[in-house]
Amino acid sequence: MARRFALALAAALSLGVAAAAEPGPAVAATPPQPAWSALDKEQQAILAPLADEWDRMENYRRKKWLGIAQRYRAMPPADQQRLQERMRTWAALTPEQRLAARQKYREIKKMDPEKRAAMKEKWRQYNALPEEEKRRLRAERPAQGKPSESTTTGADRR
Amino acid sequence: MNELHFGSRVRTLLDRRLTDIDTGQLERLRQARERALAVQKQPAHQPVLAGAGRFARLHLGSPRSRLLLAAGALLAATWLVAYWHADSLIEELSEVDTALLADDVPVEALLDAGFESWLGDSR
Repeated sequence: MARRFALALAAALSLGVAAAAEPGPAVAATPPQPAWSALDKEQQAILAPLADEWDRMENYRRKKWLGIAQRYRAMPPADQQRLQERMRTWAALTPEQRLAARQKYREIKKMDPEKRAAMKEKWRQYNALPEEEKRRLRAERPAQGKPSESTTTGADRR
Repeated sequence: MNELHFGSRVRTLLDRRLTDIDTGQLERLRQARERALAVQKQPAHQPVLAGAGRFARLHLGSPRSRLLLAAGALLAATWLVAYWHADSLIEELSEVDTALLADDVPVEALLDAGFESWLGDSR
């Protein structure tokens, strides 16, 4: 009996360890989130760019966007406008692209203000380059959105 | 003699014999009746919880039941940990995405491989 109990305990513990080590399934196991029609008027107004695809979204993504809508209320108007303008584009990216963007953003957040300002200026200069030159530069680097597995987490892919 | 008539005759004979029972016999019969009534089981109302406790003692007392109970508790705890873990991951994503989408650095700058390359060249 003790042996059977130990086996059952080991099985249950391994399930727990697996759940902790693999955030993907754990995130996917998010409880059901409200449909578009169940959101309040303010949430619908904030998340309006996602209205068409909301009911097709996975629960964990709905929950994440509801969290974003909650933070949106406390943001300055300029930030609110930027966020809303980018919602649809962001939602249309592949999980790998979102992962790559988050990793890059974390690097930028660590920069001191001067470096950050310089980078923004360089982005402005880069945008002024001829399309031909941009294409050449893009071809020099492997495509973004395929980061090494060792630096990724399941959650980042969401 | 039909059945009714026979019954009537028996009742008459028994009633007549009642007067023949002496006082001592009557007293013993009375005491025997009282003893019988005293030990008769009285119906008692058991509280629901007491019933549940009795059920648990009877059915969960075995080692197999305790094992199942422990496994169930462990699974429930595992589910709670997984839920908490997922919740904190989603919260973290929500925080990063909010900052990223509202930042004055455009999302395109984070994804453009050409820009990355150009930054490398111009360093």
